[in-house]
Amino acid sequence: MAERQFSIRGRRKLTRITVYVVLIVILLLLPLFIKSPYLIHIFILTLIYIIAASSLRLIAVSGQLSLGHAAFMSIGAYTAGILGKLLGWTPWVTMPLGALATMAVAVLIGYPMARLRAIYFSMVSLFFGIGVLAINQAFESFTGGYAGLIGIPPLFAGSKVANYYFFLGLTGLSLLILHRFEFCRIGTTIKAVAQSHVVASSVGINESGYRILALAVGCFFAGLAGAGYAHYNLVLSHSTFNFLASVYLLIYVLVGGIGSFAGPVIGTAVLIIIPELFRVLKEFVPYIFAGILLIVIFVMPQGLAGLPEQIRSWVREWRKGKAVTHAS
Amino acid sequence: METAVNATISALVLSSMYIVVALGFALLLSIMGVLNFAHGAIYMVGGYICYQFAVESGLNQWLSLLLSVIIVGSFGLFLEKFCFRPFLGDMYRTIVMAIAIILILETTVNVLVGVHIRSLPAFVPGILRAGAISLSAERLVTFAIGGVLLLALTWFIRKAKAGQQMLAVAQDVEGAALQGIDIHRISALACVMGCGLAAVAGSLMGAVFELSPFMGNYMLVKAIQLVILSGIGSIGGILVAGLIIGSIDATLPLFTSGAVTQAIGLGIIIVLLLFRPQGLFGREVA
Amino acid sequence: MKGKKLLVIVGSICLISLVAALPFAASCAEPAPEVKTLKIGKLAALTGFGSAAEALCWEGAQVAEEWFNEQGGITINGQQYLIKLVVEDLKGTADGAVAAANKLVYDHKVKFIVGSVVPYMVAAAGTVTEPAEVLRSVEYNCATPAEYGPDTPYTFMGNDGTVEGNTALLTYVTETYPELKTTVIVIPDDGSIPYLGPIIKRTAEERGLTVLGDVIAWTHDTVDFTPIMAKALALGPDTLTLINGWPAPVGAMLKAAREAGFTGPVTCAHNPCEDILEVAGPAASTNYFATGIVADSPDMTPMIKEIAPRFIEKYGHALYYNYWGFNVVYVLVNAIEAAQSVDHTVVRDNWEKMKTIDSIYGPSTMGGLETYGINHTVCHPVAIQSLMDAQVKHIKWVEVKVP
Repeated sequence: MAERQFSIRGRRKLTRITVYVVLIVILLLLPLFIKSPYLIHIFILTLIYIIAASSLRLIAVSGQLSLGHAAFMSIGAYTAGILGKLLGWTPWVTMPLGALATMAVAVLIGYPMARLRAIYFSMVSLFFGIGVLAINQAFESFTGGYAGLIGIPPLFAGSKVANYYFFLGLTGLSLLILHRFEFCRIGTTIKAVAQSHVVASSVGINESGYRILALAVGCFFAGLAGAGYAHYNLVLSHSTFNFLASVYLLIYVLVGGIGSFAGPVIGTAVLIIIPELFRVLKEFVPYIFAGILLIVIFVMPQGLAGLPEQIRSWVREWRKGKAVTHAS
Repeated sequence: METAVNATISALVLSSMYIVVALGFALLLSIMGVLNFAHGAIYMVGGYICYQFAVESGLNQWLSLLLSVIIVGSFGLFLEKFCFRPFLGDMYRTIVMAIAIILILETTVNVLVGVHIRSLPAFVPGILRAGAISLSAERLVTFAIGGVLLLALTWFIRKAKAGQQMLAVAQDVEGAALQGIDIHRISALACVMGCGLAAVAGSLMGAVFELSPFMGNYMLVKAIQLVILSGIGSIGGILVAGLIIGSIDATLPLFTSGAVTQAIGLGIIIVLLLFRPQGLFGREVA
Repeated sequence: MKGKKLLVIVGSICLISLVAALPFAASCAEPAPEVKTLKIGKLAALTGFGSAAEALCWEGAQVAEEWFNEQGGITINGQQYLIKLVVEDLKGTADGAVAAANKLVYDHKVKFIVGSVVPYMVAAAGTVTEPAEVLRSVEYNCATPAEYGPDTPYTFMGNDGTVEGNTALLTYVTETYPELKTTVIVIPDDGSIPYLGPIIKRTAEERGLTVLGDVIAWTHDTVDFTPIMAKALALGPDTLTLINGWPAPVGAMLKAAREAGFTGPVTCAHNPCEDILEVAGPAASTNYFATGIVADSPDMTPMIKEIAPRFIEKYGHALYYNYWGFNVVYVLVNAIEAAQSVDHTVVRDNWEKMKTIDSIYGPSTMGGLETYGINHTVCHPVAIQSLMDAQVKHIKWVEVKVP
């Protein structure tokens, strides 16, 4: 009996590894059979937002639901953009600097925020997000304010495919680091703290410290995503980083499934690519987006990432139903 | 001097407008524990329905307001039963649901009515002048209505049986259920009232300002600011919070730019929340 | 219970596919091979910020497409071309603009684009269209070099921009009301103030107006304009010079100004009186001057008289921004026809040197070298209109020549 169970698990693991390998091969060879630069552009944006969404999830599993994540992206983006445009520094320097700047701000604001419980953290993060943009506007001689920042030096001028491979690598690396972080000792402690802060503090764990750490790491990658975006899109404006953008990032995570590491990846991909496919519908596109959201929350409690497991349980129920009718 | 008086008046009026918008949101958050991000969109729809009756169909504007309240309030019933009740307690899915509602409402209005800016005619036309001070009649009326609604709501919660039940649910859901209070009925009532209030706000603002399919987003953030500042669980505190934020928004732009005003306003709220997360009057949450 | 869930999923997927299939099914027609198609891209914010005006521009552009095609399109070197417009939604954001421009340039492979209006979207789209050397005929500009200038050699101004419209308006107002001595300038805080501020100030001063104080700025998410107007009126000007914005905020400003007791004239180009009347209400709608089209005035050009009924027939209204959308297509196609080539670089080189070009507002010249750094502005006559006691009246046409 135990052996049968083991081989099922082993089979599942094999399936999962195969899926990943196939996926990686497809992604690596993508530019060979997708020639349209516009579609490559969409894929690049998806990769950037995958980094942002995954980093948001890390913060969320530490018990802090951030409604201002896009604003953290903006810190990284504008830092890199301004340094690149005004001082002419190369993106290879401005991007890490952007990420570090974002992390620094996160630590500064994270310290007082770490003591806040769930909904209050979310509200403060919401206001913080709006506040960041207001400050951005106040310094419009540097940031361009509502008009936006234009003329950021590019990473790889002219070649969408070069950018694609760069971001494929960057996203892969970021996901790897985030994954290791989540499943190492520190990561599991962070998740445990989120589950029950009473138990955690009784064991002598410094909850606030772990929360700030999660926020710092998450915001580092948010800043990295933002900085990458700056040097790819070459144009920054408030509309990319406003409250609605933060909410959308959260939606990508929730629809993908907050319980699973792959959740944000799947959620982002589905919610960016599918509306793009329906672009021809113009002003009706938001209906498609809303439709996906509704389907997911009513039918898939685990999000899209939980779909395979859910299908399996439906099949099992169906089989059980058949067995019952057969037996009677 | 007259600038100061005018600024005070405009602070009071702006506060009352924010309060009217925030009341509905506060009801839902305090009583159902639901962060109804769609409140802004519902507020917008309320304004457009009033416009439809008042301008397109030519009915009396106050009657149109009433009709809008009834229609949007009924929509609140639908919302509570099918959109919020399945996900009570699940903040994540409530947020996703709210975004879906916003998208559907905004897109529908955008498609049906078009993006052409419309404005409701003033509910009470005319400008009142007293010396160097001048105030439009409709703003005064909005101020009055806001005050009346706030008083009515406070009375309802303190004196009416259903209101007391709402208070009980807001304080402790399980305890209230143990007392025999029908949670679903109370939540439905709260939702209907919340949506009705949003409709009033949308119609009034649609006349004082103007209507656009995306007008809800700004007001949503203001409503959240008011409610969080006042604290979850407190309805009367909305008055104080409204006065604070309204005053900031009405007076600071006189001295500095709009962006700095916003930054300062938010900064104050953030600092307050960091030290007192339950807001000014909210209940302590474990 | 699980069956119901399955049904919901399957049903939704079917519904989505059906809805998506419709547009694809509709786009099956191909023109006859003897007649070729000239694809022109249209960038417009159909949703989000700016959509109130830009959606109307798209309506106007579609009427232009029909108008041209009814006459058999245009003929280039003996080959007949029908116009086909392809629109992409800018979604009111800078990256929406970049995405839309990417789609038009790389997916639809257009070489000509019309639109749009809002500066940051024009500039953002330009980061894609300029390197690809796509010829653009935009509807507006706010004098910022990122939108329009030596860095955008393939962009042309098809309509009157901030400077042109307000110059015409200020010229008319100061000539007609010489008793006005002072003014306050109000400009949205969208990055254009460092450029527009000095230009408008100079324009006002050249016409005898003293500008009081600094430019008063307001942010796009302002809902209540009472404090802004209080700030402006505290300086005690004879007239208010409002620049840019949309009818919604400008109407709100007029309303706030009147409610605060200001009775002097208020001017704002590109925010036509009928829209302002709608927003500000009849009580405040007086002593307001703008640029705009009053379709049933006998003083309108033959083109306007011809297309106004078309707008009304197709959309039920003939609004100012409809004419913008029509005009930018009109001048672009005229320029293409004048150059007798569908090569974008040839058209551009020719357009710069054209002595006159026809616009729906009348015959126009090319200008802009000194003001903007490139000679790409179509200088056409501008119609001044007034709003007095809630009545909209066309006053006159003013010639605008931008050096």
